[in-house]
Amino acid sequence: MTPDSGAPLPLVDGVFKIADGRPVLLVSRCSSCNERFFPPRERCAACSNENMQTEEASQDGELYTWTVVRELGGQREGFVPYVVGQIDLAGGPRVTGVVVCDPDAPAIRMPVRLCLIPQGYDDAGNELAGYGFEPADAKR
Amino acid sequence: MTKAVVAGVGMLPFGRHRDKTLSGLGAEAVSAALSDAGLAWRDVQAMYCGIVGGGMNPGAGIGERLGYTGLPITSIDNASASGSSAFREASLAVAAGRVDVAVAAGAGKLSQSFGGGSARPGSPEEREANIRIMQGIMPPAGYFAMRTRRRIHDFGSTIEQFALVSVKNHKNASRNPFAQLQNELTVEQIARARMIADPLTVPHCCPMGDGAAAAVVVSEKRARQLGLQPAITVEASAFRSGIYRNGPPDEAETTHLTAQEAYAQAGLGPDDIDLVQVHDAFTVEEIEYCEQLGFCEVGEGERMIENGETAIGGRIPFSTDGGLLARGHPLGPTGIAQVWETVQQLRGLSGPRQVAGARVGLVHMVGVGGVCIVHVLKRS
Ligand SMILES: [Zn+2]
Repeated sequence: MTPDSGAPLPLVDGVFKIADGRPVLLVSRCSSCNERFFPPRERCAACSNENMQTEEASQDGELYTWTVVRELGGQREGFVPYVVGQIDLAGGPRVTGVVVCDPDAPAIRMPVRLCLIPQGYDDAGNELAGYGFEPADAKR
Repeated sequence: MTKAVVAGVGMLPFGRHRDKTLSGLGAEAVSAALSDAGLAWRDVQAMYCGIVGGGMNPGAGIGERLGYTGLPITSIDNASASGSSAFREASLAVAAGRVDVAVAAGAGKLSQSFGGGSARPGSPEEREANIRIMQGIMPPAGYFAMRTRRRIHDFGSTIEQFALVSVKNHKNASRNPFAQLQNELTVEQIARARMIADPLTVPHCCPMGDGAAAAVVVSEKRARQLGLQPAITVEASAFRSGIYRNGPPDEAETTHLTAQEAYAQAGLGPDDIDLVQVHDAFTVEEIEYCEQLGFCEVGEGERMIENGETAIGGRIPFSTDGGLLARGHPLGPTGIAQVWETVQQLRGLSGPRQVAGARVGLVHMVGVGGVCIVHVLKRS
């Protein structure tokens, strides 16, 4: 990865990649039972098979359920409130993540898409980003 | 093979015990249980301690306080189900004929545990921590808030129906001097209270606190020698972790499977149960477990609490001592506090919260990691 390329680096390797400024989640598909998992794993949680293939998941999905975290560890300041949801990606699987939106905005089955969330800088000063979600109709 | 008989129980009020150490709390509960059983520490042949946090081998600290008698002591961390695991192991040791007298103990000091610094840069722990950040850091309430919201969507329930579980539990706890929260609450107060994770306000969630509880389990032979009347027997001890079905396991399904196993062991069914203690750390749980334990069909849980069927005096009382929501949940001792309450009820000693004619009690716990433990206790 070239420094100062303009694009942030993924906060964690091997979990998602960044393409055209948007995250693509990497999922593991079991070669035996076809179950899909995120984050990727080395052994199938359904059948314990160890032969897993890495695939790219859809960047679009809809909210299965959600909450607004109002306090954390007794603290009511800092990053709260923020929305966390379980998202059914088109074609699966169901993943959990932060939804960048107004706490009043979410609704079950609301269409969402993956987006990058800044996560500071690494020791070499490269910008880091994690994956998150935003409403599908959010302005980019 | 012998049946395991609960000969004595003891506990400390849940709440704040800043002046006592974890092992000090545990030792006090063990002493109370032994005195209730008419036994002494030197009679105990094995002890199992459910404790979350508390450093290395916290159970040994309880034994050290009670005296070096040379007995085997095992510490168990199974999250919320730690105390239940300890009770199970004590019961199994007796039922297998390995010992005649075993103690299950639990202790918790949540006002001081849950430490853990930040992970070393580049370590696998840091990688996992970063994945958790992207998945959205949540208090436990966040997970149950999402479950509650989805249930409201799927079944058309209202948040007020869930609040009724907290109302009922606080009412039970107001009659329990050992409960952490002994105040009664209304649905309106619960709606107004501070929001933790939408749609859950504080009274939808169990409090953090300190406490300890213990139970003494003996063989039938020893129970006869002690002249125990009535004898409370352990009719079932079932323990499962989750299995993968159409996704990662959830506590509801694991509860269903574990209960089926427990009913089969006991040769009993839901109709034979007189009272139930469940893992109701969050209000939605009683509703779900009521269904999964077989007391109503899936989708009827809200009707059960609305019609007062899980209240004392109802068809199948749940969490007669206030449950995790009001009696409290210091993790380690919680499962044994449920046994304490069940034994007192089966003995008919529960005073203003007595379930009339109680003969069979079911005790249920789930814990982080998807574990579920169900015991059935019976007065013979
Ligand atoms: Zn598989």
